[in-house]
Amino acid sequence: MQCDQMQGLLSEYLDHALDDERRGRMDAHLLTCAHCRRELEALQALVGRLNALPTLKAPAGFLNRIHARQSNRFDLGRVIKTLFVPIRIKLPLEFATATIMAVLIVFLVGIQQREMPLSHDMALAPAGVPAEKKDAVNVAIRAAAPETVSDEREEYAPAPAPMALESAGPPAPTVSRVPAAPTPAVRPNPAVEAIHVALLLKKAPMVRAEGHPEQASRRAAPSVSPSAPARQAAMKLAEQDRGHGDHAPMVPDHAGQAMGPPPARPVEERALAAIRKAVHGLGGKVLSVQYGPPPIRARLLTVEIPAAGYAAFGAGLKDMGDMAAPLPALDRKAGAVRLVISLAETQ
Amino acid sequence: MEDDALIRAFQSGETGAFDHLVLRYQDKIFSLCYWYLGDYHEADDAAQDIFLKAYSSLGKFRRESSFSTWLHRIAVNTCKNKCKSLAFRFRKKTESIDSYGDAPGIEHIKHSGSGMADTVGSPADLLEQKEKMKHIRRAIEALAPGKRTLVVLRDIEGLSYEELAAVTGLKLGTVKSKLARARADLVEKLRGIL
Repeated sequence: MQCDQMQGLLSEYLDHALDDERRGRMDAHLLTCAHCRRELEALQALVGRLNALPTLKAPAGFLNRIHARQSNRFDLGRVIKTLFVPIRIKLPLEFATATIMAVLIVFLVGIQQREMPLSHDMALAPAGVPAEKKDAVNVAIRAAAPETVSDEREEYAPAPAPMALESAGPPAPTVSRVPAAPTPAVRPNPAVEAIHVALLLKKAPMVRAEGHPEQASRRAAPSVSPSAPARQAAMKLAEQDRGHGDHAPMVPDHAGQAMGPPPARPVEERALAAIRKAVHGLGGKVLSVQYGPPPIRARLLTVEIPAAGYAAFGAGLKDMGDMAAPLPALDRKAGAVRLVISLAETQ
Repeated sequence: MEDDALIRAFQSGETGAFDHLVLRYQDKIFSLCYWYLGDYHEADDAAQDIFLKAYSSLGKFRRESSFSTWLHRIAVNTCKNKCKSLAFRFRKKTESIDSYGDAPGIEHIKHSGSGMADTVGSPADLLEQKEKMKHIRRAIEALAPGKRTLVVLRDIEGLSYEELAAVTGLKLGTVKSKLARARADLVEKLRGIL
């Protein structure tokens, strides 16, 4: 055996960790190799010196210092544990993924369901329509191809340009109800003063030309684009009101004039439509419409208009009928003014 | 009381049992830290860290090895991590610039009533022994961490080869060969001094 190999085993030889066979060979080699004997002696001296090193005693108060650090450490540890609770259950990756997906789907469906009733309500009949008519409107709208919510919202957008009340032709009855749909969303401003107006409507038709319901609806809201379901619903309801097609079909001419006979509508309905149109034209809001017992008789309107359009609006009201008392003067042009209009038909 | 009984007591909620374990092992662990780190105060901090780690983990101790082996494993890992820390290396560097001054550990050995200090007679002999101690400590510190671990555990702490394998996670053959190389390195470093 070579010295290099033997010197690699000296450490184990010193520790009595060699088996008998290798130990015997090492003994034999050491008898003949002075270099390896010297190496062994140096190794023995080192190990002897290291073995003789004392085991040091821990500093005094070692245990007390550990206790002190424990109290500090576990105060902080308790806070961390409270904040970050470790997950003690090991979940398979597939199960975890499925769970996350399920939670995500439930979350998304929940959001969709919250949005659906809102859009649904907007697409259907307005809140001011009595229950028996509301169903008819809803059925008609559903029968027509339902469109997106955004279309309906566009339909309800107020006209940007102010319009004179007298120039507003009476729209088809059902369409006149549709723009009232945003009414529930209107937040009345309690700070706005209310002016009460009693309006005795004239029996004579105040409309110069009554056209086809579709045309009428277009004229009723010239700056908006009613959606197809709403228009078709209006037409259907108008037909129902006329007696389910007893009249000849009305075809508008190219000039937009109605060819068919005007529908027989209560004067309150026409006044209501005209007022709504005027309010929207002025950039105001129809806050509420109260109806009397069937047949539909609009009784009380609450509207809010800009103070700047108050005079024009009052003049329009005068054209529609007689007022129980003249409109009070408004000494300001800024802000909004609320009018509570009672409608009644002259006998 | 045996280690196992103390551990059972601790795991059943009697935290005071841990104090007995600390008192039983504090000198061994502190000594290991001192010879591994070469600094008395660092060894004190490290030994406290080791027992704090043991305290927080003892509840999950599954007795797959003896408590002593488990504690030594924590001690070795803690010392290795401490050696890697920037703060420790900076302190060691400044200490070496300060001519490797008298560490409290050396004085402690002198008064410990055991080992070399007992054999010292005259002040000159005492100074010589002290110098040798410094050289030995420097030589051990100069070893690579793996070799240092084996030398300290085997030749100072007196662990068996099997215990070394259990503490370090090395195979028995690797432990033997690595220890042989570590000792050979030390012999070379301390030739002419011992």
